[in-house]
Amino acid sequence: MSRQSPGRALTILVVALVLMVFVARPASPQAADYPTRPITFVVGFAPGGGADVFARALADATKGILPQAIAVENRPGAGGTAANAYASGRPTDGYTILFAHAGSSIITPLITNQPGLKWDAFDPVARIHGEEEWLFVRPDAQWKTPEELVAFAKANPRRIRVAGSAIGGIDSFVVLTWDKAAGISTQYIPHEGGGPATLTFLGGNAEMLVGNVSEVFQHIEAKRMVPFLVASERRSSIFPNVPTMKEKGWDVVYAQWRSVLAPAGTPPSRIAALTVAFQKALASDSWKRFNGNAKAVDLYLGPLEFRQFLVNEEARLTRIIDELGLRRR
Amino acid sequence: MSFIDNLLAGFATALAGPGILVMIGGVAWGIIGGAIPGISGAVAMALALPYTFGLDAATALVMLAGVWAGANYGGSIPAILMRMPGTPAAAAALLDGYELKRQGYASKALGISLICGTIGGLVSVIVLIAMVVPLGNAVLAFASPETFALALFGLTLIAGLTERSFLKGLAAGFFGLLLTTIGLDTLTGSLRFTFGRSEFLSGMDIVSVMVGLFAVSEMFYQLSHPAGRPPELEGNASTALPTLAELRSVGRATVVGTIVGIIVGIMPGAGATASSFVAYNEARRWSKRPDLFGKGSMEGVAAPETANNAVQGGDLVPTLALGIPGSNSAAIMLAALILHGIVPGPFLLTRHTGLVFTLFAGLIIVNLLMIPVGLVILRGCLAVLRLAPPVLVGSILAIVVIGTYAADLFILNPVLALVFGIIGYGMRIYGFSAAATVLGMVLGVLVESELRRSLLISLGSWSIFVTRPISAVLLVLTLGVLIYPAVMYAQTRRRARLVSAGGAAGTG
Amino acid sequence: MNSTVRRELVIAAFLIAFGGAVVAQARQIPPGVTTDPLGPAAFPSALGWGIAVCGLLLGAATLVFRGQSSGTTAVLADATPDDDASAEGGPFSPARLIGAIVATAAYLAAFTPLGYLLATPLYVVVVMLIHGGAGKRALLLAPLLVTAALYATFRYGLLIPVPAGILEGIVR
Repeated sequence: MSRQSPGRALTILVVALVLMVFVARPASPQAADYPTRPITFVVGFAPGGGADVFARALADATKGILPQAIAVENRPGAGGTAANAYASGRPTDGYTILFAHAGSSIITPLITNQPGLKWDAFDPVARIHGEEEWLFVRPDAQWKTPEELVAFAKANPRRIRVAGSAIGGIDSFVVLTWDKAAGISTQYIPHEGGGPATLTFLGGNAEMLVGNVSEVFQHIEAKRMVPFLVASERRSSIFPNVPTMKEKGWDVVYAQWRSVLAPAGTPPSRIAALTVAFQKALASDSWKRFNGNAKAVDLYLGPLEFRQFLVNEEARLTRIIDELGLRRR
Repeated sequence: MSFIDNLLAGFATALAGPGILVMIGGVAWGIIGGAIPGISGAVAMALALPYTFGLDAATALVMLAGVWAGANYGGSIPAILMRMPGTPAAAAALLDGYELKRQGYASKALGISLICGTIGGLVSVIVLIAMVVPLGNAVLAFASPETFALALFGLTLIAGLTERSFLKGLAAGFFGLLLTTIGLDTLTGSLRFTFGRSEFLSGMDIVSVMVGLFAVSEMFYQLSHPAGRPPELEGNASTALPTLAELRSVGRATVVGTIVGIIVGIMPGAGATASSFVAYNEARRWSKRPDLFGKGSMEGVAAPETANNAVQGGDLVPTLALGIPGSNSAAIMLAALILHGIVPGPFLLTRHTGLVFTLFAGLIIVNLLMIPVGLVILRGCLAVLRLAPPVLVGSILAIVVIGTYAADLFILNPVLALVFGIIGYGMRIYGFSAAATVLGMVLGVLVESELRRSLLISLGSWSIFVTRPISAVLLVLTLGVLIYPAVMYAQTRRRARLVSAGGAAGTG
Repeated sequence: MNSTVRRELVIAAFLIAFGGAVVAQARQIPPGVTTDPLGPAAFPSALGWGIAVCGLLLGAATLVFRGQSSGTTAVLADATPDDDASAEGGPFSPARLIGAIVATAAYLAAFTPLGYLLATPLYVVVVMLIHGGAGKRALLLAPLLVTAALYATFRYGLLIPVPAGILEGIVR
């Protein structure tokens, strides 16, 4: 040991201590520290579908707003609830968020009796946007008004075939509820998604199609289908001439709203950071263009109001489920 | 602008700027991603999707097309080298591909998969380009009854997969069909065979089951039957690619694969995996050496690999003509369009002609790029063959676990692979065909859901299957295929009895 | 009754039992929200019956042909002797099979708590030992290289988080 070593050792020690203080700073759950790595956006539907495209568009719109990217991860299956199951097991550090709509977060968990996969097993983050639910018929259909259709349906039970997506999704509920409200019984033909349902309809194997306008807008333009009824509170600005079910006396109001949830116990500060980012994203050009093409409306609700909305929505849907006698006990 | 002008302009755009590099990158990533078990073609494309945001729409599409084409070949690499399908669509390739590897011809098998696959892809893309509009209208003639009939026709392959006992093969096939019923039934919302566990909601993960039945069981077999010398080097492990003569010999199988792939691709509901098995079945039926299938027939590799590449063109028909994706992979192409602000649908061709023709050109280019990129990767993968058997076995099992884990990040999938590895081992020892089970799983989904959906469309009437011409034809073919061997067998027996009655003592 | 016949009869019995269990379980399938002409239980039930019938026919064919090889036997029953070792590999070692299964199960159990980087090399070493025929150098190097290669591919190439287990905090 030379005479220099105590001084050098001390220097090294001081430097090491200083570095340690910087490097090993206890991670405080402040919004400023978040996110420091990409956030995973779990989507319970296959890539390319409506839910997936929504998630990717939202992720794209938050680029530049959040310091880290949002990465979509698809975990399709069981009407979206497989993703719910997966997300509920993820750490509650704000780096996992979950896609939710009425089908995946309320209806399917209820009718399959899986309360652990319902929205209230998670923390609501925000409701983002929504599309209306429509019923379409062919241009040469024999019915020119909804009343004619219903009269025909009453005279011919289980004769009108309606193509739509899987049981447990909003599409199926629109039809089931309408059946009950109008006192008819149609033959619902479930499919894996909106695309196959559209094919069945276009191929002449169903008289009606239920779904969103965005998926079929160009087919409407090409005059292969005609919007017939819309299941909303008020007439839509997209096709103002199409009557609502409500004005015809059938209380059927649904919206295909899309939203974001987080695993229960995610720090509120991080949820707040996300909602701020989403609000800004909704004002971005890329989101506006996406929404415009998707013919959707922004329906932004922050965590507290969204939770309130979900409580009411679940109550409403539960009542309908029970009226339809669909609940598994 | 005329068709040719449009196409030439498309080539110019596709090759401009970063185009060629992006396409090479896409193909390379597709092959690698497809080779990783647990990453299917669609997943590989989805993983690449975020990288397309910075590109313009046309470049994004051709890159994704490259990933798609690459993955169709990539899946056959571990299938042939390690009996482990990298994508479900490569499962049929391992039936003969792995046998070829055991005989020392891995490189030839991989080469056939690559070259014939590329031919299938190119032809299907050319057909797409030439006939997208009329074919688009033809799509609508296919509905649930047709898909059901095709899937049923494909199931007749079970007869060809069973060597030791037809009854056992049938039972194995039934088992595979049964596995597809586990989970939530999308037609009624009923839960089947989930035993209250949410992990089973979406059913049995087909990749884990395949990997377990084929790869894990094979590893267990090798571990429990230690050989004096490594069995893999029976022949010399040749690194030679298939010769022209060998390629010509699989010509018929390639043609069959191409036709099957294109048609199945156009049909809604049925995809690359179903097409590979149907093609295998048909190639065997029309082959001059059907007895070789399952024992290392090059045709047995050519047909399914050509088919799953040829699906690409067929899939794009409804995607481009109607805006309705023909498969998950095509859906991602559409998603890329939507995310670039382009609305898909029947007007895509007329409103975005430049874009579509750039895609056409890109499809041709990426399929051509498959050969150079694929050959480079092929050479690299052959290094696997030089691994000592203990290392290879250990590596394969480790890959199985991480690959199946990667899909769900639950330990469930690797557990499934282990369980089915044990089941597969038992099946092998007792004479049940694991391939029949996998076939049942692949086609079972289609068979049940399309059958029930057809009955909903027909309002309960079973006659729909015969009143619709295409489905009627397919069902008659299915019946014929089932009856024909029985008739032939009875004739052979009768002839044998005549011979033994008139000639020397028979063996009774 | 020779061993082949006995084996085939056991298999037949198993098939019948399994098929029966499936049919019984299918009866408990709930009807669901909507119905279709077949219903959710029709297909599983039919398959259960199918498997059971296969077992029945297999048993019958075995009894009729009593292990003789003939054309009909190949179609229906199975007359090949137990564990056809002519195919490939050496004699059967039950210990190695059990060992392989147990080792894999243990690996899966230790996957999350121990973490990927620790559990995988251990597993690969065990598998190589069961296989036999690996030199000391290979036993040391291969597990580490394989683990490193897979870790790099999945963790950094595909950005898939693997469990860090007891290395949590160090690896992250």
